[in-house]
Amino acid sequence: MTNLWFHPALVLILGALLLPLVPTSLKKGYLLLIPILLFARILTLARGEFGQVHFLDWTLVFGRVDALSSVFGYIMSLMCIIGTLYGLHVKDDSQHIAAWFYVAGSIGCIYAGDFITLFLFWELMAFSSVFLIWFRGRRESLSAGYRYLLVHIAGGVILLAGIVLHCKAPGHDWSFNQLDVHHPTTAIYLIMAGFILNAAVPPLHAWLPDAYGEATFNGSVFMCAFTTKTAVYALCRGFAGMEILVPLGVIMALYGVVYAVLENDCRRLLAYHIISQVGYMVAGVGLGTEMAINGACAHAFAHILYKGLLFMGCGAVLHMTGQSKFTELGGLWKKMPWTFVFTLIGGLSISAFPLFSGFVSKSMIVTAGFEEHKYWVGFLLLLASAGTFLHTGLKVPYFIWFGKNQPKKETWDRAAEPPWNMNVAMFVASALCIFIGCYTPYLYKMLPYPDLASEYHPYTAYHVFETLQILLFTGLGFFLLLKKLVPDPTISLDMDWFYRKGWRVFLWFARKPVQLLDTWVGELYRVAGLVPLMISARVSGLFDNEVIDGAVDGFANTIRGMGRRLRFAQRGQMQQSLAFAFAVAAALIIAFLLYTNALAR
Amino acid sequence: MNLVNLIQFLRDRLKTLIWIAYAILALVVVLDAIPAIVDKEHAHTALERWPGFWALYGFVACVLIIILSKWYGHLGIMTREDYYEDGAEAPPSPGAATSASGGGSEHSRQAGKSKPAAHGHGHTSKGGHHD
Repeated sequence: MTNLWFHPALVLILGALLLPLVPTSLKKGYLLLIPILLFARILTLARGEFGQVHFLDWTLVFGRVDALSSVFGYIMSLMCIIGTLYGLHVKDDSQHIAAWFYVAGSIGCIYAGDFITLFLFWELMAFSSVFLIWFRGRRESLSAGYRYLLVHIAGGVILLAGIVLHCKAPGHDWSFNQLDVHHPTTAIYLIMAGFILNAAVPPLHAWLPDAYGEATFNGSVFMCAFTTKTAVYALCRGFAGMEILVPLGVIMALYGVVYAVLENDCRRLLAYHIISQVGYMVAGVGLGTEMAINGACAHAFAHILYKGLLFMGCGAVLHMTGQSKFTELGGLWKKMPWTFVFTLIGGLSISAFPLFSGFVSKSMIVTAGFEEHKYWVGFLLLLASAGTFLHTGLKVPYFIWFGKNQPKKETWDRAAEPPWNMNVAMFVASALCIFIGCYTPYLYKMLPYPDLASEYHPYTAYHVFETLQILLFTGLGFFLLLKKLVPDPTISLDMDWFYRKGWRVFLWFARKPVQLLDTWVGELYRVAGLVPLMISARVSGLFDNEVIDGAVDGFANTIRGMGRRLRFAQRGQMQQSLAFAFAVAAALIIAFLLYTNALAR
Repeated sequence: MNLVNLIQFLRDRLKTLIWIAYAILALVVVLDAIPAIVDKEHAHTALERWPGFWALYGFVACVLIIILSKWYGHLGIMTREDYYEDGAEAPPSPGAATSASGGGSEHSRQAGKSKPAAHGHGHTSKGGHHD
């Protein structure tokens, strides 16, 4: 097959590179045109394998178009249109460029037919999305961005290690297909670790609320859609039926709910609910039946839209008022009523209310759990969905738009409905959420097993009443326990403690023995200095001044220098360190490959 | 601004709304218990055939989630907002709080200052300041 296949990600990459050249008067049109071209390109993709490139010993496959990649490609490009529309008024070209490169990375992963291509685009996602955090411009966002990048680099290295070990094993090639999940090797576990880090499975999840709460108002809209769902795609592709993913997914679903209770920042709350919702998908992948894989894909599809919508709603509040904490907000229904309605639609969709998108997607995974006679999976996932409604459907709208809290005057004065493009983007997402919930064939026909999906009917009386009872009585519990739910101005410690405070433990250990040594040298000096003093003050003075003092000073300076270097290592010269680490890793891998190839010959 | 008026209209009738909400809750449970309306043939476990099972499940789930999460949060997970911000040099354990800032340099300086006090070497105090 020839290489004349035009990769959809190229639309975005070329579009992003040309963006700075577009005159200002045409910019808005251009910003909309490129994602629409991407969507059109994806709609016209024929099924099959395209874009095969021979490079060194490898055959790279850039375009594997099948049912699974198509459904993810479709929703990713659709979300790209909505996300770009939402940020249309942002004047800073670099923000759009970063977002488009990020989406291009995600699209590239989805159509990748081999592990090398997958890995390249996987890293492109990490390196471009970090700018969406940095562009917020706060000191906190700088640190959060570095943490995000470091975690993803660590994940990338683990993934790469797994890929290399897996693909160089006898009988394997570089193609990315279903892995042998019933006899997992170390390599398979490493690949899985790389994937589930991006899917934010605890304990590898803390980067997500850390980063998404700190990104720009529209950056989070992109981020909430692409990284975790690309990971879900990769898990669907490679790990269907991997048993361990079932308990991990259920833990995720509940973990996110627990932290959402404690959270005071609305965007961090939503981020914890990404973890919770992706837990359903991960559990679905672990169940691995056709119904469960359908459910994971359908839920990813619906999730991208309603979570994007929720981040747009909270992003609009942040953009207009400058606040995202519940304790700084309240009573905004008078100022931003439409944003409230859109956010509420997102909340009802994520809570799986009948007629909204979550209802027709989430239930497939729960049903798959029950059908596999894993009742605990079904019951615990339903428990988590009560928590979802509790927070995203009730807590977020209530404490931002109602509640007893009165925001500060400047917040109140700034609050107003967002610009038209943000409203239109939210409207489109809301309409799609309701459309998917009401007209099931639209989504079900795109799923990897469409025949099975067409036989699935979510709107049975039993299912509707089951859901309504769970959700409405959750609502009753919410209003009865409202006092307990009033947010506190606190943050919650999570796994990121280990790398945000952990380095201080390291520094402390490094410093404490050094200090002891310093004191000890001082003591030695005192004793050693006292004896010569008794004999000859003059000699002692000379000796002291020239030799010992010099040694002590030198020692102190060395310690200080070390301390300074340690402090630099924490942030200042991170770029060089990263580049260096990458170069070393790349060199090692290439050397390894050349070496094994030479052996093979 | 019709939407604001609508919300205001509803807020003015909060009592009525609450009664309607209770009525809906009751209605959902009652309808669920009528076999002619809700066919429970395909329920997976015997528990689910109890009338109002899912209502109870939802309510208990909600209460459990709130109480257990709050309990967990108050174990020390919820902390002050500037927890990660306070002086980049602060050690994690309160016992070492004295070495708050300045690190090694401050301590070598202190050590330098303590020397003359110990044995009256005026000129050694210079040592601590050779930065």
